[in-house]
Amino acid sequence: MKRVICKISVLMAIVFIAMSCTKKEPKYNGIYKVRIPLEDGQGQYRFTTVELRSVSDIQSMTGSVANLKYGGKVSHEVENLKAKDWGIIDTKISGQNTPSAHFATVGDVLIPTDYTSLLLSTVMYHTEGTKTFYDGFNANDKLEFPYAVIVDPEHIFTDKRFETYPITNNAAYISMLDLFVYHPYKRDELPLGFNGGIVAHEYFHRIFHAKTNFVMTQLADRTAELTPDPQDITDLTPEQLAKVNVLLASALNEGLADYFAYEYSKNPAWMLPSAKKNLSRDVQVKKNVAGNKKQQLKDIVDHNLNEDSPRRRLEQHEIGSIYASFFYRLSNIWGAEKTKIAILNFLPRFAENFTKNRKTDFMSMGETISVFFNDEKLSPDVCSEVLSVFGDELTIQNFKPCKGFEINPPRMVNRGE
Amino acid sequence: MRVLCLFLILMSLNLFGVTSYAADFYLGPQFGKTSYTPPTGEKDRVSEYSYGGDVMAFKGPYGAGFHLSYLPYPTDGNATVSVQQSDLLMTLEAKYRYEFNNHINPYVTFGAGSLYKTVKSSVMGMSEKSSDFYFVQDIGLGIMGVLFKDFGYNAAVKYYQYSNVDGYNYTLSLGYFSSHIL
Repeated sequence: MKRVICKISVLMAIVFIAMSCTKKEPKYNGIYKVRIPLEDGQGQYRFTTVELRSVSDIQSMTGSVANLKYGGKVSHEVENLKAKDWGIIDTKISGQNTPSAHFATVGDVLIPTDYTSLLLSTVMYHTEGTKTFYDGFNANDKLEFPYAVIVDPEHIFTDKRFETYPITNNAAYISMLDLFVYHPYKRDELPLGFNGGIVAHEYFHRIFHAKTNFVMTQLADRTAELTPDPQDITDLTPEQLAKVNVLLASALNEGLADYFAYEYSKNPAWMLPSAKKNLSRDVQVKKNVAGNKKQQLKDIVDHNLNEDSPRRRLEQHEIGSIYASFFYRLSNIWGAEKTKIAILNFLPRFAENFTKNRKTDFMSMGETISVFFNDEKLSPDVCSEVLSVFGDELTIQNFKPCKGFEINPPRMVNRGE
Repeated sequence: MRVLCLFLILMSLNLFGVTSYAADFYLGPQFGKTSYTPPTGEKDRVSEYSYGGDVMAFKGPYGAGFHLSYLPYPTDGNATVSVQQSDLLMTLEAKYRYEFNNHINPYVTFGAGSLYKTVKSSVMGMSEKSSDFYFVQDIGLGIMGVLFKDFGYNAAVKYYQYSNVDGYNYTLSLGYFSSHIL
């Protein structure tokens, strides 16, 4: 019996030594080459070999730009979902896992062997790509890295009545946690994490909040109840006015994010592969603001009250797309670099103006654009563009940067989709 | 390194004289379930069905075998982006059994070999295929024996590991069993 035990022990020892000596250590240091689907700039995606330079461990998706986590729960407690009272009381995250991505190796290129590993690798590539992109014009100044990204969590809004509203097919930046979330994608189009435009769009929100000193997260301003059909700002309380201004500032945030998504992806219809129905986000579709300042105020309040879905942010995206298409056209005149830098420089001015006036004045789209140009004398072609979009509110007479020009701006008839 | 490890395992067979003649022989198709660590980092392993075959020979308590199994994973993703992978596992195994009687032979098993993985990735209707070999090692427990005449069974559970994947392989096999093969 002793002999048998001895033989088994020797055999096991040999095998365990053999097993341990073959344990694979991470063999890729520094740069990982990974094969992921990338857009060719015209909406077609192809598998392409890319380099990940910031990643320290590809299996756990950690690196100097972002750390990716998977699953778990993100829950927002809000006042009342049905009353569209989305003032967020508390946000909790729990149960996230450190990924363990799987790869095959072909030459020195890693091939994700499953969908999750492919998604995580692609999100990691775009987090790195967007950092480089925004570094290109110093937009990341004072922002901290690595930041956190959660892929495929259960993301829910819950109110005090325990009504819940789950979020899917979307992506979000949660400014109070400095956290990015890519929700489970249930549709048959391109999942959002694969869409570089989406990643750049969400990342811009981080920059917007940082450059505006988080004025948007003055959450108490969102909880005021709006009353229909205001004729002027005198019909609104300071709190109601602040809420309307927050909604319109959110639209600006979304519109600028759409413009930067285009600049990163170089595809004007960057959202199309992920949301074919959402044609209005194509920055090439020219739109104009319908109505003067009073009309805009009325429209925003009424839209907000009439919306039958708690996802009122959709409206902000739609209004924002007017800004996006405007900045797209401006970049065609000014060039991308000048436009991008001008937007960055504008954000602190916008924040200052917002903080000062949010409870006393309606910060209409025309006024916002006036703050953007900051009384800078504009060329006739830029003036023409401004007045063609914001002409119901801004005119040669009241828009200082264009005073003295003789321009006949072509007015648009439709606002677009 | 992998060759050296394989050599050590094979040497262990030689050490105990297994490379001489075998007295019992088993050959049969196997059906199994393989669990594996998911890329999501979740602790619970995911399981898929696999199938293949087992060959083994014993002389006294010592045995050697060859295990082959195929694991087709379900397609993962959606209509626009998807990944489909499959594993072909081949291992050489060293075994040690305890003979209660002809019908019940519990054994321990150690294996090493290679896993051939193929990956088909698709985006927007464009696909590409890749493949890779991994060194795989396993350790497990099993039971085999004669059911009647030349018909036998083999059931095993093995813990396996390759790259950053590990899991359990549960297999059941019914097949040809001979005590007079050599």
